Amino acid sequence: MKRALYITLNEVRLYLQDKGDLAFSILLPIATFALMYGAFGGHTMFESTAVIVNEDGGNYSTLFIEQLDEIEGIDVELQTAAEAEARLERSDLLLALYVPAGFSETLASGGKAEMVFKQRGNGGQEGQILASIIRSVAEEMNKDFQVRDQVKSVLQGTGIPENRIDITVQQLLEEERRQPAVGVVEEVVGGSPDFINQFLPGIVTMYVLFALTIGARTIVEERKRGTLERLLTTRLSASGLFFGKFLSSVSRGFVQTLILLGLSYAVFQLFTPLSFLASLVICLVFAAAAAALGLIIASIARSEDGSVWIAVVFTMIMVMMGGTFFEVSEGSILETVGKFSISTYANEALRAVVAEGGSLGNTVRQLIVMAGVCVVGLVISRLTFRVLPGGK
Amino acid sequence: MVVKDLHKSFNDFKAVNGVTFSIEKGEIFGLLGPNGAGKTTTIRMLSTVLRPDSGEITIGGHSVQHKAETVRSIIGVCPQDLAIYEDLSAMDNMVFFGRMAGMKGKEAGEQAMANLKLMGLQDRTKGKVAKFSGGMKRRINLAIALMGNPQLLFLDEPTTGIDPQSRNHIYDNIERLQQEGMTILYTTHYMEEADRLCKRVAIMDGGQIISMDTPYNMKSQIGSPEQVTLEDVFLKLTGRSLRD
Amino acid sequence: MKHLAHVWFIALKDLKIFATDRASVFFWIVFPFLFIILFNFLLGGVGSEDERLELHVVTLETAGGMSHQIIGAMETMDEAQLGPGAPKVVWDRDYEEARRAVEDGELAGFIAFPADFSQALMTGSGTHLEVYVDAGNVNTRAALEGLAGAISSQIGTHQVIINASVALMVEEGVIPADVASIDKAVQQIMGEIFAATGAEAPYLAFRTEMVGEVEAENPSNYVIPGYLVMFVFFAAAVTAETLVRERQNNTLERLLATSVRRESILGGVFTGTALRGLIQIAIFWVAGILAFNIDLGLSPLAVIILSVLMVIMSSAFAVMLATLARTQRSAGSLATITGLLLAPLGGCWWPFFLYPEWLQNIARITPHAWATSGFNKLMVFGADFGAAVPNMLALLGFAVVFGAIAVWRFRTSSM
Repeated sequence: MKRALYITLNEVRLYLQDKGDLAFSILLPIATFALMYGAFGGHTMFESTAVIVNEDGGNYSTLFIEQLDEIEGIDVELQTAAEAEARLERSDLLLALYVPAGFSETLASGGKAEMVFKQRGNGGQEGQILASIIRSVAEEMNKDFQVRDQVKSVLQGTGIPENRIDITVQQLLEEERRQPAVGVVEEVVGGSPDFINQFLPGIVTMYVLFALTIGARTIVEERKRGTLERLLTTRLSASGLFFGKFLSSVSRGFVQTLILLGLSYAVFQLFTPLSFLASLVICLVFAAAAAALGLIIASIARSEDGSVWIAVVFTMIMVMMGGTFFEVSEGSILETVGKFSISTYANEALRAVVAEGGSLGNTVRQLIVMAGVCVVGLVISRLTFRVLPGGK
Repeated sequence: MVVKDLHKSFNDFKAVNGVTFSIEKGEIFGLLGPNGAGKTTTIRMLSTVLRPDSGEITIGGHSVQHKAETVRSIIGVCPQDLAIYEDLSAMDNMVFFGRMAGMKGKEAGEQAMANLKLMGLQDRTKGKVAKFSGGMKRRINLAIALMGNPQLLFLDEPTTGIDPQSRNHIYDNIERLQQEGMTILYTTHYMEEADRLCKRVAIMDGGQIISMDTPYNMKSQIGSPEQVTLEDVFLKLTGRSLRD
Repeated sequence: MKHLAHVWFIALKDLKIFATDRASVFFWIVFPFLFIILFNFLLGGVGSEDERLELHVVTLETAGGMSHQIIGAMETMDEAQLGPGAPKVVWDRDYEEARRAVEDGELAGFIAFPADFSQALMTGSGTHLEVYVDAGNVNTRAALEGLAGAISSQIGTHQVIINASVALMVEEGVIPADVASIDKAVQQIMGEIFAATGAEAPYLAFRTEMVGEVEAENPSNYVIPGYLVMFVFFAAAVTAETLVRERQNNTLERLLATSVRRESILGGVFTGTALRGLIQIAIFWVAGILAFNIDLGLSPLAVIILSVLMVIMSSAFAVMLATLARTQRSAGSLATITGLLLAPLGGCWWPFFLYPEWLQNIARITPHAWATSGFNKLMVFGADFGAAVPNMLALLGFAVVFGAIAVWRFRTSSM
């Protein structure tokens, strides 16, 4: 037992001295989290591209397109009719706006003009919103015409000169635009903290799993090099060696989560002292399960390259199935499939403690499952563990 | 091969300090010395892998510094550390290096088979080299050096770590090669090898050659050649204390 | 010619060594497909969502107020009567209940009319509509803002009509300036406005033409390219260990002692890596077309050229990595780190076009981003060959830079 602990301490010391390892296990998760936060965390504005076929080219169509382009989040892409038709035909596009020839001329002469939405079905979610934005821009332009028209209609027969009407209407329209009679005020609930609660546990557990499964490579290397065998010529037994490797993996995983969660505590202030400790316990059990799985990989891999491939692929499958990047709806097939991933249990437990303010008592099921995986993993890996290449 | 006043330093450490010697065609020349004497550095310069700081080396009339490519086409190198692809078979290793030496596929295959036969490995052409014993790996290491029909062979401690039977087999092959006209520069720690194989021997220490002659003459200088061994000469010249 | 032959044989040798490691070969080919299958499953149906937008409206005003009339006019009584793309408007009766539903995630958001809506309009003191929405639901938020804006605009229009008409009538003496006369005039004008609303077409009208139904986007069209880029790059980066291993095994020195040039060794490693990559992409695309029904877009040639350039770039990166790493372990670590960092940044794990523009700009420092965005342009957005040319040039540029660094390092290092 003592010798096994020496192996553990030695490996943890090597881990803390190895800049490459530290970069991988600490900096990479931070970088990934920052990337995801940038990609999806602050993403609160609707963005879309409006495909417009402008067969008119006159003043009013140009003005309309300019006003649409000025809306934040909306890009305008002008295409020919043929291009838009082709894309609609291939379903590469769900909605396109056609401004017909003569549009500006009709409006200038006091007539009523029509634009055409060509779409597939309802235009998709994005298309429907884009259509409503386009309509609201049109409504603003329409306002000018409509107000003049209706005021003139109301004042017909009063002898009020048209230019007086135009000036007054213009003044009041500008006033209305500056200070609308009915404004719109927004109150938004949710946001950044939800994002952190959603993704932080997953990213932490993902990189712990990566580190411990890719760490299997070291054992494969040692087996090939003969240093594992050399250890057996000391008074260390095969079981002691195996257990030492297991403990060192768990310790590495624990040190990694301690640093990552510690940083999260300091930066995001997500934890209370109790929830922080509870999270560490969850991560310790998770690290044990991941370490056992890493040992299975070390046992079955025949080469360093092979061990890396198995580790990467295995980890990514666990991560994807574990709802790390997607919210898993209850009752969905993904929820069922996710039950086979230890990431699911780790993420659930961490979210329960961090986001929902629960305690360890609320995570008993998850802890039992992870501990079970650890035990089963240890048994399988011990049975298959080889000290010598090709040996028993 | 003619070597004149060869020098090589690594930072402040003079690994080779004014080495001069020559080898005649068809001769087996031994280069002996304790660890750190500069033997491997010398061989690396002769085989064009390292550039000397100063000095001249000509092999077959060609300057190593100026016509390295020509020189490489007439030398073969068996390095001290195993330099083989363990994930490939013996035949694949041999053919690959034969191709690198400019041989065509069929020619390389035929010569590979011949060299493997020479090394007694004709029945082990297919399996991965990783599964070979240490002695077999050494023999493959040597066999590879023979690909491309070199005129001058550098053998850097080729029998380290092999059993006596394999070693004898290698001695027989080396003698046969020499009889066929091969010129060989041979480094070793095993004095009986140098005694048996080498026509002349140079003893290196501290980056310099401290003695060069036939084994018989060297032994005569310190006693009766029948009673004194080359090891006695070696120890007398280089000292009995352990080296760093 | 001799040196080209050396390059070729070194490449073949590396391929042979790779092929002997059956586990690596298995994972190199088979497992990326597991991801593709998983993501196809996860994302199947995405893009086919064509349900009508459902927008919720509530009022705090008592019955009889103007907001009730407005909502009554907007409320969808029969969905079947709605035209294509028109939203369904639902009138929620309880404000507090609606707020709770948003906070609990049961409802994305709603628009609320204040209690003093009519009063504020009549007195001209101004009021506002409240849009209460969950930050995570960007689409509903945009839709509700749009609807609220439209209501605000419509009311504003009516206000301007009324105010302009009354102001002019009083100024010109058409009506007396007393409150009763003004009120009467306002009522009359409002009546005319409401009568006109819906009866007359606006100046800028819209017609909708349906050209077909919404078809679900085949997720393979962006999943396969994304994972293709990631795994080809990762596989190439891992081969950086090859050169390091040669150095450590002394076979590199042995090669240098033959007539093999240093550049040929580099070229051989590059060629071997590129050959592997080409085999990989061939398998991916063939399987993608046959099993996953992917659509190579208007220009399959562009897709192929982009794939080949990506392989070349990855191979150049691998060779560069090999010249920078000193040990096998550091080569492996560098490969894994760069692979795992560049892949999500470059849009391999999620479609690149989901990122905000500023992040897309940052991501362009990665070759992955250029590759995935090129594939997306061709396979998702139906662009032609010309649209992907900048992406091709970028990948070529990366390959040249990586290759130059590799050659420089190889020449100046003590190998």
